[in-house]
Amino acid sequence: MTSSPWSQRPYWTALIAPLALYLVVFLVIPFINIIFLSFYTYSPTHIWTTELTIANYVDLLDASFMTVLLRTLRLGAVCTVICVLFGYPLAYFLARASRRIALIGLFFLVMPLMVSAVIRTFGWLVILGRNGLVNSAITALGLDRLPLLYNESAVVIGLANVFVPFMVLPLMASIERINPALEEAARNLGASWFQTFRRVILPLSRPGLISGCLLVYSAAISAFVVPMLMGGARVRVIGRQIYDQLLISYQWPNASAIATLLVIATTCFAFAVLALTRRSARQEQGT
Amino acid sequence: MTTDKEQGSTPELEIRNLVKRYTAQSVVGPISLSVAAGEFVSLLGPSGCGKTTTLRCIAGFETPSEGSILLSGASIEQQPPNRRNVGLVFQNYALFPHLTVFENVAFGLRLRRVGDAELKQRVGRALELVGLPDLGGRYPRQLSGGQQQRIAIARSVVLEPRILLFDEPLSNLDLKLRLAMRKELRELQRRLGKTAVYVTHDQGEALALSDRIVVMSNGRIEQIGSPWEIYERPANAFVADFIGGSNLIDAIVIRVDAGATIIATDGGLTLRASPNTCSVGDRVVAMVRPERVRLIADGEAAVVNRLNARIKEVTYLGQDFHLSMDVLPEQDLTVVTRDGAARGLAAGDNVVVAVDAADVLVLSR
Repeated sequence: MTSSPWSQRPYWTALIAPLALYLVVFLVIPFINIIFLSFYTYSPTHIWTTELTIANYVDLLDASFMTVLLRTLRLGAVCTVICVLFGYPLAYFLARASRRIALIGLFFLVMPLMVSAVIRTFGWLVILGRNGLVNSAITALGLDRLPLLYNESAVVIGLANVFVPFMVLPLMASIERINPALEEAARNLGASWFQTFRRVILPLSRPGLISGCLLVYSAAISAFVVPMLMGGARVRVIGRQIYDQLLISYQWPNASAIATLLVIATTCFAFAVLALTRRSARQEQGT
Repeated sequence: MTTDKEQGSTPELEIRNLVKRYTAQSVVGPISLSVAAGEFVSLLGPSGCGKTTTLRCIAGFETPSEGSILLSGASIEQQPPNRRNVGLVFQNYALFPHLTVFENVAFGLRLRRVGDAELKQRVGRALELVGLPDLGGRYPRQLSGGQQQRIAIARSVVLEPRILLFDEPLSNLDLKLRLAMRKELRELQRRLGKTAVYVTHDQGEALALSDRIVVMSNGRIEQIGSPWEIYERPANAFVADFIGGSNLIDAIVIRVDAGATIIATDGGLTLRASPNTCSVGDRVVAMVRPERVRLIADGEAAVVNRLNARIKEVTYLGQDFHLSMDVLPEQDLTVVTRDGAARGLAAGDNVVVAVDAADVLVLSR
């Protein structure tokens, strides 16, 4: 018993300790606090009292909140589908391109992430606004202005723009690992281009596709800046709801309940998807 | 199978003036070749010689810049790879990792919408053919390299392709397995009676498997012939050097007789060579296979091409001895012999060796 138990720990504890500590202090503890808050009672004078209640959760069954919740999930789903549709061909192209082309492509791909969300979104406002580029072009042709902003489509456009890289990067990594000879083998056995994609490329890139969907969906349903600036008051999403409850209505317990629900929903979704991925990975290894 | 060839029917596969241009410097072809039904033809050459390009043109993964490819007389170079029905067996097997062995073999049948009962029967038969009837439920990752290669062959054969193409299929296997698979492959091809085109850089493989060998280098065909012709009657110095061991000796023709050609080597020897079409004064390359040089015992009577030499190095390889020697006055010569007399030899020893005139081949440069 001369050596301390710490020296016997595997080396990785030292590697993950800094980040783990950071996350515990700045994420886990505040979140536990939020969970507590969500069971406290709202008080118009003190914001909350420590009297425990489930009223904050019961309030969420309200129809107007359900509308917001369903809209958020729907926006997330549409955004994810659009990211798959745009991201998959790009990911395939980059994965099969030469190193140089892939590097240039990746640079352009992640460029939107290097710009602040607010600035990027204002860029969209300039393009899609009432007197923006698109509408100027349309009116110049003598047609009526189109309502391009402050609706769900605008939010989806804005979100997909930011989140496409989250889809492309894991997909690309997955596709890169597929031996090109497998595509040739499929073609040689009589598969058309589309059959090769459906029977070989798609199933083999599934892990990347699933991670990409997971990243995009989780990020999209918790988005705040883009829905607020491009969706306006009409396209209210959960992020906006939490913000309003917290900073405008001072309904902290209610905001905490919504936040807890969102986190639990996202976590369950992530675990379900990861469990699916793991099963398919096991299947491939045949164990 | 040879009868088909003799009857002069349409060749199963015919390549006419095939050219594939990558850049101005890197060109394959023109290549012309015809393969009879049931024939096993190897494309043999060092890497970059164009053998794989030729094979990929047949499979449809490369588009020829010029020329045409005909299967049973019908041109196929406009057809996409999935319409050609030529079976290709890949070097790295290219089995689908997400599918079981059964589904791998069934892949092409499912695309052709073969019914369930027939599919099961055909897959079963293909797996039996390659000697692995019980592995249908496994995944490729659970199989050894040799097993994977057999499944890859079954996957092609089950579709009854018009011809079978092999792209260095054995080069990822270890030596012993390679030799065993070589035999199996040949037997399988004979049993199925399928025309086969086999790409390899391994001359042993080509010699053992082929009815005919196409030796290629720098995008061109150097020689087409039976294994015997390629080894015993190489068309030029490249083929002689590439196939088997050989002593290549620069020489000049000094006399042409009815029965033999007399040459003087640059190393100062005078040799009697086998008859050929050269004339006096031609600069040539003489080829002597190392195993055709004999050690001459002290008392042995005079023979043709009797040479005095000094041993430089003796290497014992179990089956035979490799002797590196200087033929006097100064000509390097490698000799491979099983003669027990080589056992007592050491560097610096003087020996007498001889080679028959028939074993000295004169090749043009």
